[in-house]
Amino acid sequence: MGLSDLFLQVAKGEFENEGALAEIDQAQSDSIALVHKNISWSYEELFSRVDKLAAHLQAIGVAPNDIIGVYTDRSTEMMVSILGILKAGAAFLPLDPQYPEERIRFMVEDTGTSLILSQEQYRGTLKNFDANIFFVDSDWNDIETTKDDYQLPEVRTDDLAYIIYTSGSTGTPKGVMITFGNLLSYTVMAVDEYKLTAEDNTLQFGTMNFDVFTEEVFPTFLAGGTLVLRNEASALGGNSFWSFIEKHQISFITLPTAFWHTLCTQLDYEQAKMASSVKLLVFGGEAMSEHMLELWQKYFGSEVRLINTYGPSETTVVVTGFDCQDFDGTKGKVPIGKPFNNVECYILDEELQPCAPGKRGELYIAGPQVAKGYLNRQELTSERFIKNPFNAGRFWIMYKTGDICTYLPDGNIAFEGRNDSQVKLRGLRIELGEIETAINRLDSVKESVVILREDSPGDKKIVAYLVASGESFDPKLIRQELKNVLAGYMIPSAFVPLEKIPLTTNGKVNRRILPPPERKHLASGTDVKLPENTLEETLLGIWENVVNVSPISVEDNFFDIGGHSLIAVQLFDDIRNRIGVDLPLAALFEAPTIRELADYIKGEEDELLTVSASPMVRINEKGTQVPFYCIHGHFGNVLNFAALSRELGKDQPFYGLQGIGFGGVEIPLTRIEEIAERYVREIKAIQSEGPYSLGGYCYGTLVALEVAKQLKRNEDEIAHLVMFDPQPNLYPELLERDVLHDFEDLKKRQRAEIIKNEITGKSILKKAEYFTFRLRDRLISDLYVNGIKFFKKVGRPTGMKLPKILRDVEYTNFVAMNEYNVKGPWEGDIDMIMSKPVVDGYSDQPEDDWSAMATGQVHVHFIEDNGVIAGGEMFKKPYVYKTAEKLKSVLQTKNKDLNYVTSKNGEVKYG
Amino acid sequence: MDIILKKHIPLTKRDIHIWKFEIDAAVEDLSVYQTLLNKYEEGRASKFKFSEDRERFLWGRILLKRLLGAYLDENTEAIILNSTSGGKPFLEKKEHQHIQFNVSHSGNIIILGFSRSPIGVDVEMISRQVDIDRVSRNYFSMDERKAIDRVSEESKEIIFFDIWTKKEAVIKGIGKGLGIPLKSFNVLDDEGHVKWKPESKASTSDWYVHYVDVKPAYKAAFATSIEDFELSYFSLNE
Repeated sequence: MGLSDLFLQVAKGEFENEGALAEIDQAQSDSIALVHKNISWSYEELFSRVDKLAAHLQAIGVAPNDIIGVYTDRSTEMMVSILGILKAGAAFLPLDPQYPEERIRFMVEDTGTSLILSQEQYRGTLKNFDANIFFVDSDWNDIETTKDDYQLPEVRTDDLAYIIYTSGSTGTPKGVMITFGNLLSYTVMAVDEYKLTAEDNTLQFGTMNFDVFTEEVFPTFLAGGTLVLRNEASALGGNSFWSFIEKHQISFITLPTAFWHTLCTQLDYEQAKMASSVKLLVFGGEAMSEHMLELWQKYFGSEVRLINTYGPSETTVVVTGFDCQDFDGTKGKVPIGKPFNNVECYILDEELQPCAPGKRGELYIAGPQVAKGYLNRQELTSERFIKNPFNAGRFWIMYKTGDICTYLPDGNIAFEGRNDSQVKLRGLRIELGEIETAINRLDSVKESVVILREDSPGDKKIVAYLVASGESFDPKLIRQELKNVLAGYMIPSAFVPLEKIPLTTNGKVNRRILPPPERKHLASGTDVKLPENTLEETLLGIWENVVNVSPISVEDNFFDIGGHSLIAVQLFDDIRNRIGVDLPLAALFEAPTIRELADYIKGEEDELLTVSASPMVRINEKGTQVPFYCIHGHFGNVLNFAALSRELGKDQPFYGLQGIGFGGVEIPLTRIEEIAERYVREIKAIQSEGPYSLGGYCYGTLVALEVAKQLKRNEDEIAHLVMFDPQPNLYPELLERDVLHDFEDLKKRQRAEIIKNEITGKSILKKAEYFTFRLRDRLISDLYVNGIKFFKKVGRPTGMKLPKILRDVEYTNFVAMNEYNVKGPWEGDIDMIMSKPVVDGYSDQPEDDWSAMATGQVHVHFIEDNGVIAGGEMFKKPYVYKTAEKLKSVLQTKNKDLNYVTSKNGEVKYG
Repeated sequence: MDIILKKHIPLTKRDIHIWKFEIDAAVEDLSVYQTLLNKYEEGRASKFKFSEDRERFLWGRILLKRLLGAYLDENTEAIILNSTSGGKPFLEKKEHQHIQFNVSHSGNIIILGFSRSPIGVDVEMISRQVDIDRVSRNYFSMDERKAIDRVSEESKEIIFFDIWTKKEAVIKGIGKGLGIPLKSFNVLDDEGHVKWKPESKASTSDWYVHYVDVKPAYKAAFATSIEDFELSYFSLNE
């Protein structure tokens, strides 16, 4: 009765198994063997059917090593079929109808199965299969009427008992050949390890396609216990599962680890109470989570024996186990335990040398549970089932598991991961399970799966799939929390929320259907700071596009998000095109974030417009000489004086006076008198009393003259009035008409020349553009004058910058110049430093022609520059050397005169 | 990586040593070496937003320190690197500074160059994300632009990255970072001779820039001021 007769037959002559079998009590014929729905069969009832089927199969010629398919749902027919095939001495091939038809077809074809046992309900599905189908339910009458008696088959340990297909992680599924010897050794071992007895009620939970099924069925029947086939609802877990356990007073459960994880996440005290009949729960198939163990222990303490098992299908269900019910999961990883009876485990390095405890290596398994190999896969078989160099006499083959393990000092084995879940990313070995464990510990996460994805070639990233324990989770927070427990390189780059982790039909995580992460799931290391103004926003757009990262925080450092020089040049080109600022590449070192770069750009703009709010620019504050104050030309800019100041030397203080309203802070002044008044105040703030040395360039000569006049009216001494390139048209009241006329002629000739140079060889379009530009200039002048008038009238709201066009000091000066009346010459001496080619263009006797400018002496000093009117050439290299030389001598001579003058007047103001 | 474990690698005045490392082909775990890094280096690494940038940096730093140890005949621990504000590492100890070096990484490749004279190296993964026309228009010399214009569409990328890595190598050799206008010199001389005219000086400084064969889909170059250099090229993966 039961399985023992068959197993004894197999064990015949094998002292060890015979002895072990003898120790196991025979199943009682009237005790319950199988429960399904409302059916409850005793051993007598079950096995009389099994033996009848076996006899029938034998009668139709079934012999050892024949492979017979079983295509049934979870039912008494399933159990009768499987047991019947075995008792006929043949091998069963589980074909769970829940598997895709393609997969079933593959298994049938791969094994060459010519007979499938099934149920009437699948007649339609199977009609296209190239095999004989025997319907165990509807054809049962054929069996009932058979007169054949059942004879124990002549099976040997080496004959096939079942074929189980494993898909592995790569390639096509392969059929593992489990022999009767394997099955016998495993079953005897399991009854012993799990201490199963006739009192046990075992849950039949798993699909028959997965070898947890073997663990549920054979040890239970060998021990004389009761096998309870689960209902559909219990697969949902939670109350549905535990109420089934309670109803059937289940004492032994063996589950795929992933499903046990699911149960753990759903636990409550109510369920724990329902589980009071459970004595032993075994799980295996995947790495377990210590976090789940903590959850389990919270409700069960260590009352239920909990075994973390390990075993590939190739070594018949399980080979190691660790009792973990009282393990402290916070202290470390739960080991997979020690090898079970008769199993030998080796942890070896790549040269097949044993690894010292603590050192990682690949796990190899030897012993009677090692399968015969892969069906029809000779090459693969010899790859994975290799000669055992350690125990040639007894277990001469060992199976190469592909799992990375370490021996712990206490002899337990720690599972480090499948070598395919142990991924290598950029040279780093990463154990995905370790990441999962860390994530599962987080309060906001119920469950997680972590995988390495490569959705586009070369773009490998770690992606975490999470089921939130509450409504949702905050990826930023999760990242932050993970940083405390994981190395930075192990932190997933994306967190994808899932409602539940998809499982395959055999209860493993279905990694294949996990969706690729979307952009919004991609995690960034820091909080994303959003742009606060349009400039930052524009820059952010440019960055995201060029750096090709999103999101970018405005405080992310360019070099921290993968930026390098080639990206930098493209970035700056975009900034030039879209914002109109030409930045030096080195700016990225000074301002490596969007926020800083925006400030930098703003700073650049401001610097172009104004050096300070004050029109006084301190070009050189130090030195012992009388300070020189020099007033800007018509562009308002004094930066062109910098070189001149430098050439004068450090001992000569040099101040530039730039256009008022340059920075858009002040409304420009449009009368020379007002401008001069303002400058006088600025000069007085630096030097409270005279004598003063003043200078002006071009249009600035007019202002300098006015400043000098105002100072003089205030009874201040003027030491020097220096005019750089004064233009005759600035002084129509003082100069001869001929000079003015000749100068205008020269100007026209030069302008014509410039225009010709500008547009020569350019397209009609370019020419048109040039003239449009000039026309626009004139329109802007008009607009400018009216704009200034408007703002002067209505005032300006505080904090508002003037429109850019009104900040253009060139126009201020244009307006001011036209409205100014010189009203008589300077009452003193003037030194004029002028471009020789320009002066030659309109005057034969310059000192004479310009003499009307002053009541005193007018000294003319020539600079041989390239003669461009208002070109500022004399301030540029190389002409600036000569200019500085002339100015220096002017200032020195004048100082001597000054001493003479002051002493003559008897008032010593300067010595 | 055994070769680095050799205590001392001599480097003569004319020697240029270029080392190549493929990150994906690394046998060891990065973590094995992480103890070689100091707090500053770990801090710098932790700032990278993306793990691949962080790992490139860490590998680069570890290899650099190991190799410098070999060139200077010192333990790796004795190699102390500091960085300029521009991020360029330099040897802190005066007595170490006779060894000059430069590191570059891109994609899966790290290139390290060692010499007794200033040296620049650059490697770039050939990427389609670069706007070749734009970059060459704005940053390449006239001759370099013409060289790109002359070739067929498919070859533009390769020529572009050839020029770019050479220009980068020169710039890194000169050591003034991105402050140097890329347009101001030409790397297309047959002999690799680059005449670079610093803005502040009247004289030019002479550089020699050459291409280094890394692997398909990458371009790399080094630049040296030694005219009659002797090049040795090693792989760190064997």
